[in-house]
Amino acid sequence: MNQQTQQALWQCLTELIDVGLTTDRQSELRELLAGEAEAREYYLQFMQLHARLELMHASVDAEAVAEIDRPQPTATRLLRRGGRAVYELARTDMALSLVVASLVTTTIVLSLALWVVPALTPAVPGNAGPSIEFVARITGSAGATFDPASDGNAKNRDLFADDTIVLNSGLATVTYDSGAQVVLQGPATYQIQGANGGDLRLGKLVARVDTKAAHGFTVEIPGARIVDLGTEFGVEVAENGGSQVAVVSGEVELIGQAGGAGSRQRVRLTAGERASVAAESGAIARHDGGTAQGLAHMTDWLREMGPNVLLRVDFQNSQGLAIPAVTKPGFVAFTERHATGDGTASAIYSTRAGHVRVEISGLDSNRKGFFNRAPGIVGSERLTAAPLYNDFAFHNGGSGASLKLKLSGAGVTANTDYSLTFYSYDSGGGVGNRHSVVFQGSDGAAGDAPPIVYTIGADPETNDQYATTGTFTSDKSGVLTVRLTDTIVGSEPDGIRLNGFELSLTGETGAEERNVKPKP
Amino acid sequence: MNSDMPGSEEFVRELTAAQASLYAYVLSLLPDREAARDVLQETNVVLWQKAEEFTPGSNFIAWSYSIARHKVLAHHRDAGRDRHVFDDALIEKLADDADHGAQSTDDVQLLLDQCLDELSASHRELIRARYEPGGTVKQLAAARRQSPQGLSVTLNRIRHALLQCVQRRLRGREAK
Repeated sequence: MNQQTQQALWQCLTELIDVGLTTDRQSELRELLAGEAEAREYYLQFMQLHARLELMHASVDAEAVAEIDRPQPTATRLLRRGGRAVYELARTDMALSLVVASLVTTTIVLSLALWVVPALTPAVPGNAGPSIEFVARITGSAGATFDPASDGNAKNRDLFADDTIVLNSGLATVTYDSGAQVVLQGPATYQIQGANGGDLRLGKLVARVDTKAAHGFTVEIPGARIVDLGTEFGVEVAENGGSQVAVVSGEVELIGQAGGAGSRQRVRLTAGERASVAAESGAIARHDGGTAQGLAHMTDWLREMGPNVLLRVDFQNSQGLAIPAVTKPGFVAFTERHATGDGTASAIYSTRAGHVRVEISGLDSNRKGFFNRAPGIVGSERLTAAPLYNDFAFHNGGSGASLKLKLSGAGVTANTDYSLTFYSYDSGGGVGNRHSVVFQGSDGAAGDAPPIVYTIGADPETNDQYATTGTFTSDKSGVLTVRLTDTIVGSEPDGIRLNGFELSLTGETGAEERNVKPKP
Repeated sequence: MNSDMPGSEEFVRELTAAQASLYAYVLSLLPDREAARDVLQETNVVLWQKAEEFTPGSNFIAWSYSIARHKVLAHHRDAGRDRHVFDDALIEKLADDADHGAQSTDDVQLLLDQCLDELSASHRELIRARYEPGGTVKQLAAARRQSPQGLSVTLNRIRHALLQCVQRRLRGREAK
């Protein structure tokens, strides 16, 4: 089964099982199954698994099995034949109920106890096979286009220990549960290998390894292996199979794969050093100083994300306007589709600390509170700091009007300090619309950030022009609530516009904003 | 047939044991939950009626599959073609393949149990919530504030992982 078929079959199965097949997909599935034995094999196995899961979780049909005695311990013995345990679907009471129901319809009287087969929980030691846990996820992307065959093909996509990412263009960040983080630049092919490593077959990669658990992070490249000893490094694998490795900080060990275990070439590289690995021989050669060309901007981007940044949210409008929805690279989108219509909106994001639920309340419920700074909506298109400032969550009240941002979930720990940066700006309305927005801990959370004072109705020229950062402490139940309040400074209040925010652990906030674009 | 008949006990055990495999078989040929349940019931009735034809020790699964196949095709004809994903020819093809691969399904349930244990608690919970009675992806997605499409992709990836796990363990057993 080629990758295209596999991908198409996968799509069909996803729809078939959970959301229902469209007519087009029905014909596609028919063609796939009629055409390839392998596709049928996979389909049958998949459906069998689906059926078994359904039966395992189905509840007892109370009516149908009400007459049945509970399992008799002696029945267990009956199930052993020829020394081989037969695992009945005893727990699959639905199956029993089906059988029983059919028996009832045929009015056959039977010793019902026979029908009840106890669940066997044999003491078979579990094989310590490879884990099927997700080990990493795609946590960021910028201008990324993924190949249809790529296992990971979108932000927030969980990755298994053997998934392959095929990135045609743009940047994608993969964060491992171990804490290791890699940024890929397409065209790149990278396979996750286990919980703390990967195999770069093509393209550019920057790895950042700064957690204890990620120490020893390993990247395989053609002919060699890079073992990270707590550092940041970049590597590029060219189409001819040759590679360049550059260390930004810390140290890596480069191990050639040629020769036996005892005779392998080993080269240690420290900050500022680089080496190349020959395509054919796998020979490693050191080079003097300097970082490999073309890796610097990826390093910048990685650094932007910062080790302490948990979540960056860019509020988005999706009102079907002519202006396309754009999300600032490194940020996740929070759109009006998250709105519930009563002035609140919420979404859940996964972060390296666990999931974080973002809830915003006090929105202008008239239009769900999400606006696009499109011409005719707000009246200005002189934006220089888009896309972050392109859209915003909005409350249009009088003085004292407030928006509340509430963060909770496993990613927010009780009584803990967090750094929050808010991006906000004024309406772009007339000069004299002087007002300010203050940021204060609320509902049990403490802390504040300096108010943002808008002096004139002008568009922000940089992403940090109308940004403020403060330290806030979550409440005792692990909820971090901040209230934004609009206050008159000059003539009148003008509503609150929240363009985005960044949640970080304290100690080191995210690096300064930069509009880093993938370079060809 | 009554329960005093020789072999009835074994027949009952075989029939009970075959339920999961039979349901899976029927659902593969007729990927519609309600219809598959109906056909399973009809198949059970026929199996019961034909119980006397069953020879203890013979291949019960193969026998029950052949009856299920006929019931699926009959259902297909009765309900009208436009209501179904597959045509007769494809059902036959799938059934042939399924018959061919109908070996050692007994152990799959145990292996699946073990593989479910390998999942993280959150993914096990997701599977549970999806498959518990009345659990639909639509509702679940709404509760989790996810799109149904996004959630179904996650679910299918977990299913794929479970399938790989079961197959890996099956291979491990065969190797022994």
